[in-house]
Order: sequence, then C-alpha cells, then structure tokens
Amino acid sequence: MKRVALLGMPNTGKSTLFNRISGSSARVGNWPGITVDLMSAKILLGGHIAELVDLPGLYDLHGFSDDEQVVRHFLSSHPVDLIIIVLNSTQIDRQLSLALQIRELGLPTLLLLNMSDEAKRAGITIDLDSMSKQLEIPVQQISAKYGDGYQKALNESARLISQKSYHVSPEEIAGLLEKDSHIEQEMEAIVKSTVAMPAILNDQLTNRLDQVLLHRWFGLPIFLIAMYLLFQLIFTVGKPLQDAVALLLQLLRDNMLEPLLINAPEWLHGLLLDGVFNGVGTVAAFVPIIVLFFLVMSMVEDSGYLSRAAFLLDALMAKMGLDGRGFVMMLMGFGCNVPALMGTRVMRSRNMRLLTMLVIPLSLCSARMQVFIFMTATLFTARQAPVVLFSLYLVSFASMFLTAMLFKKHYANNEPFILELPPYRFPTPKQIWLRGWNEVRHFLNRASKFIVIGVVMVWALTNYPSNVPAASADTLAGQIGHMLAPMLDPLGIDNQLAIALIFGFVAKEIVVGALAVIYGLQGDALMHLMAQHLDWVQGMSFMLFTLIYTPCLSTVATLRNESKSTGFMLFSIGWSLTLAWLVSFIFYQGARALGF
Amino acid sequence: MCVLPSLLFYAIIKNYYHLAYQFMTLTNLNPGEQGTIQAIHADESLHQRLSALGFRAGKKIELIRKASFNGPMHVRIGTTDIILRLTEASRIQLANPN
Repeated sequence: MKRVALLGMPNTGKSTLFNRISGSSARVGNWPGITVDLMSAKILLGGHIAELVDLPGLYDLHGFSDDEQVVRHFLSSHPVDLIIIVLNSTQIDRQLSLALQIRELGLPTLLLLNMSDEAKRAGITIDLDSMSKQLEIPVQQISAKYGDGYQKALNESARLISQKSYHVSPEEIAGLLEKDSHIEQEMEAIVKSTVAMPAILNDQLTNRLDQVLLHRWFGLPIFLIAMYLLFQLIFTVGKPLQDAVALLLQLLRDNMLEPLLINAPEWLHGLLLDGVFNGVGTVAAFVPIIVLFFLVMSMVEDSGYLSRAAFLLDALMAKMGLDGRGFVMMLMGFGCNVPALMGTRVMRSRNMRLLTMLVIPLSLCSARMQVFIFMTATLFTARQAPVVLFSLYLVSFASMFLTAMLFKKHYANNEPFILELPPYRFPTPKQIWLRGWNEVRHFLNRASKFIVIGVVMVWALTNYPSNVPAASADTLAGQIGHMLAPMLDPLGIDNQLAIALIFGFVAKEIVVGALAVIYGLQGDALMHLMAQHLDWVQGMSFMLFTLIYTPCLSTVATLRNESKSTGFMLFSIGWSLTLAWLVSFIFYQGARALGF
Repeated sequence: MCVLPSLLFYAIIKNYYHLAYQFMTLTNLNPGEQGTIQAIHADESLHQRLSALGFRAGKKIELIRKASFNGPMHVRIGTTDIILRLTEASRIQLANPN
C-alpha cells in the first residue's frame, strides 16, 4: 500500500484538506514511538489504495518543538511515497521555506497553496508555473474550505504516486534531516520572482473586530460573557439530548432486553443489564455533550478567537506554568471534563498538555453538581445551600491553582509563547460537523471498552457475594468500605458513604442513585434518613472528598488515551485521591476541633 | 515605610534597564509604533521559531497592542499578526530610530 503524508504549517487549513479528502473515514492510527494521535485514512488515489496520514503542523523541519520532533520521527521511521505540503497562499512569502526544506528530502512532493480564496481577496497573485519550475516540484493553488482546485490537486497526487520513481528510505531521510540547509536566500529569490503582494495587506474587518475583542479593558469581560453563553448553549441544548438518550436506553431495556432475558439466570441478567448495558449507557450519555462541545470548540478555534483568548488570559496562566489556551479548556472542564481533556490537543508542548490535563479533572463538572445539589438540599437550609455550592466552586478553583503551582516545575516547558493570530474566518458547517463527528468516534473507539469493564467491575463488587442484599455492607464493596474505614473515619465518611464513593468512581451521576440503593429508600424518605444519620460537617467533608477524589471513569479513560500513558493516568488519580483526603481531613478535623 | 521608595526604584529599573544593554528592543515600542528588526538574541530553537514566523533582520515590525497585566504583545510583520510574551519580545533588538 502507498503512503501519502500531509504536512504543513499550523493555520494553513491542512486539517480541513485532510477532512475533505478522507470524508469521515479517518481513524486514529497507532504509530510506534509517537506520543500524539495521528489521524489517517485509506483513500483511493489513481487506482491505488493509499494511506493518507495527517502529520502535526510545523514551522520548521529542523525545529525543536514536540510537533516538529514527531514529524521528523515519522519521516525517518516510516516509508512515504508522496508528501503533500500545504501552505497558506497569503503568507507564502515566509512559509515557502518549509517547502524548500522538504524538497531536500528528495521524495515525490506536491506543493498545495491553500486559501486561494483569501489570497484572491487580498490581491495576492502567484505565478504557479514559474514557482513550480524553480522549486522543481509541482505547485497548485486550492481552497480546501470551498473545494476550488481540489479535484485537480487530487489528480496530480494520483499521477505522482503512480510514477515508478526513485525510492528514498527512511534511513536516508534520517541522514538528510541531520543536515541543515541554507534556504533563506533561495526562498527570497523565488518569492520575489513569483509572488505579487500588495505592499500593505490589512484586513480591515479583522482589525476592527480586534479593536473591540482585544480591548484593554473590555476584552476580558467580553471573553467571559462569550464563554458563559457558549457554556450555556452546550448544556441547555445538551441536557435534554442526554435525557433523551437515557430515555431511549431505558425504553430499549424495558421493552427489548428485559423480556429477552426473562428466563436467563439471575447472575447473567444482572451482569448483562446492570453491568454491561449500564456501562454502554454511561458511554452513550456523553455523546451529545461531546458533539456539542466540539461543534462549539471548532467554531471558536476555526474562527480565530481561541488565539485571541490566549492573548487575553496569558498573563494569568503564565503564573501557573500554563498558557492562555489552557484557560479555555479549564473553563470547559466545569461543564464536562472529558471533552475539555480532548481539547488540550491544541497545545504543542507535551509537558504543558500534561499539566493542563492534571488540572482539568479537578474542575467541578455538571455531574458532580448533581451530587452536591442533592447533599446540600438534604443537609442545609435553602438559604445556606447556595453559599455551600459557591464555596465548593471556590475549593475547585483553589485546588486547580494549587495543583498547577505544585507541579509546574515538574512539567516545566520551555515552549516560548509565540502564536500567530489568524484573521477572523467563518468556518463552514461541513468543517464543523466533520470535526464534531470525528471526535465522538474517537471517544467511542477508545473509551468504550475501558468504561464497560469498569462498570462491570463495580457491579460485581456491589452484587457479590450474591446471597446478600445488593450494595449492603456484606458485599465486596461493603467489605472494601470496611477495610478503608481507618482511612475514611478521620474524614467522617461512614461505611454507607464509602460504598457510594465506590459507585462514584464510575460516574458521579449514579452516586445519588447508589445512595438510594444503599439505604433502601428514595426521594424525601432518603433525604430524611440521611439528615438524621449525618451532620453537616460530615456531609461537607463527603462533598469535598467527592469533588476532588477522582473524576469519573470516562475522564480516567480519556486521560489515558490523550496522554498515551497509563503511568500518567495513575499519577493523576493518585494525586487527586491524596489531595481529596488532605482537604477533607483538614476540614473535618478542623471543624470538629472548633466544636462543630 | 520602605515600600514607596522600593516601588519607585522598581519602576525606574523596569523602564530604564534596557539602557544598560545599550540597545532598543521590541518591548520599548508603544502601541502604534513601528521599528526595524536589527538582530535576534535567542538560542537556536527560539531563533528558528521566530524566523519561521517572519522575524528576520531588516523586517519592519509594528506593535499593535499590549495585553493588560503585563500580558503578551500583539505585533505585525508584513501580513502576519503574531502574539508573543515580553520575555521573547525582549530578545528582539530594533534599529535605533535615528
């Protein structure tokens, strides 16, 4: 099978082109030794089945950033039959250097100058024939967004890949990559003779928007309002969709699966329905939120506003060892940790990504909110409850800040903060939709097995041995709760609450349901009994522990997928457990010592 | 008691320390002002990154705006808008205007 590598500078529309070529057939490939996800797709190219690989965006083939190293590693360890370089027509005067560097590798190469629509608007004309002659590689102009010149480019790729030409082995490329080449002068010569650019090219609209959106005083409030509205949009639209998914699953269970399994032995019935099926349900519940989140995120990202947000917030984030882009993800984590973690892919430095991923699971997501609303309604008056909820938000922010400050040395990155501000663009609906869809498939592929196994395990823990009531103190979970008593007693967390915490490992949404099973009561009766059982100090301690101790299983699965490191995932869980214990301990013992 | 003098001292140092280096950098521009890049004082990796984004000796550079709280700067080189932190901006030496 032939292999085609797609390569280009950041912000050149490379991924848009990739999505256009691959449609929705893209998969996340596994490449030995590479720590980021590379999307690839099987495509038909001039009678060959070819594998198209989307390499990370890079400025310089010899650069030192993580992405640049990934590209070098890829090219020097995997044979490639054709390189397609994507550059931005409007910035060709400085981007051509990359094409010259790639040309040195001696592989069949096609140069695509993207964003022909923007170049036309800006009055930039490029003499493609002359450029192609001087570069000695075919050059074509396209608009990946609108499809202009796209078919021609595909035909050219097919022609190039069919040529029985020389073959350069990865080893030779590794050697070539060592050499530095003097490209600067050649680039200027080619640009001078082939590109006509207006002397000053100012996008008036972008300038005017920037004057408002990046304003010294109004910029931040506008950003916060915009984020708040997007957040509201995601969750007001997402919640009914999540409920609808839950309803559909319930209908499926009641009308199809229950009758089907009516004669099955009880353990099989329990395993399949309460274990596997609930696991599938847990995964499915995330789908609407992830789709919506990435619809919104790709709008924010492709429009050029994400880089602006980074500009506005970088001063604050730099103190935490992060950069401006991390803030957007942290904020999104307050809705749902899973897509926020997936969103950290916009960061180029691995260390900065890991630090951001360590911080995000501490944000008070909407699922944890459900537990807190129930607990505060049970243990506090209507007047106290909002104060308690607000203080939990503060604790969440504080624990994120503390974590970043503690570990910023460990995840130190010397990544200089230099970002390009692209002009504002309207993303096309197709662009947005493909992005949302690909992200969901990615989540489902990677997370589902992990989550189903986790749910089955918790089901088994709370249902075995089978001769005792489910979720009671005699089950395995109850015994674990008993074993953990020396750890949890100093926090005021009793055996029943400990079992609820074990359920909470799967998803915070089921904690309240678990309490109902554990106490054998529901609704008001459950609240009444719990209010008799617990005082507010215990309840608060339980909430603090729930807030920090571990994100849900979906988040854990995402942590592992995105970091590609089980060690990092375990470290993240370990740290949040430790922090949760300390916070609850200090609170509980402190409150008791003060006489509450 | 010594808060005020030390604040004053800090302000002076902050505004005039570049004179000790005898050259003007990107951080000395005010929003709306232009300069010409004379040299880039950076290690190889940062140098490459900057030059890939269009920071080269002889190029004209304009400071568009600065973010509040000592945040990054927004500059324009030719057709490209770039944001960068002050630490990186201080590595970019500009030709003296006269």
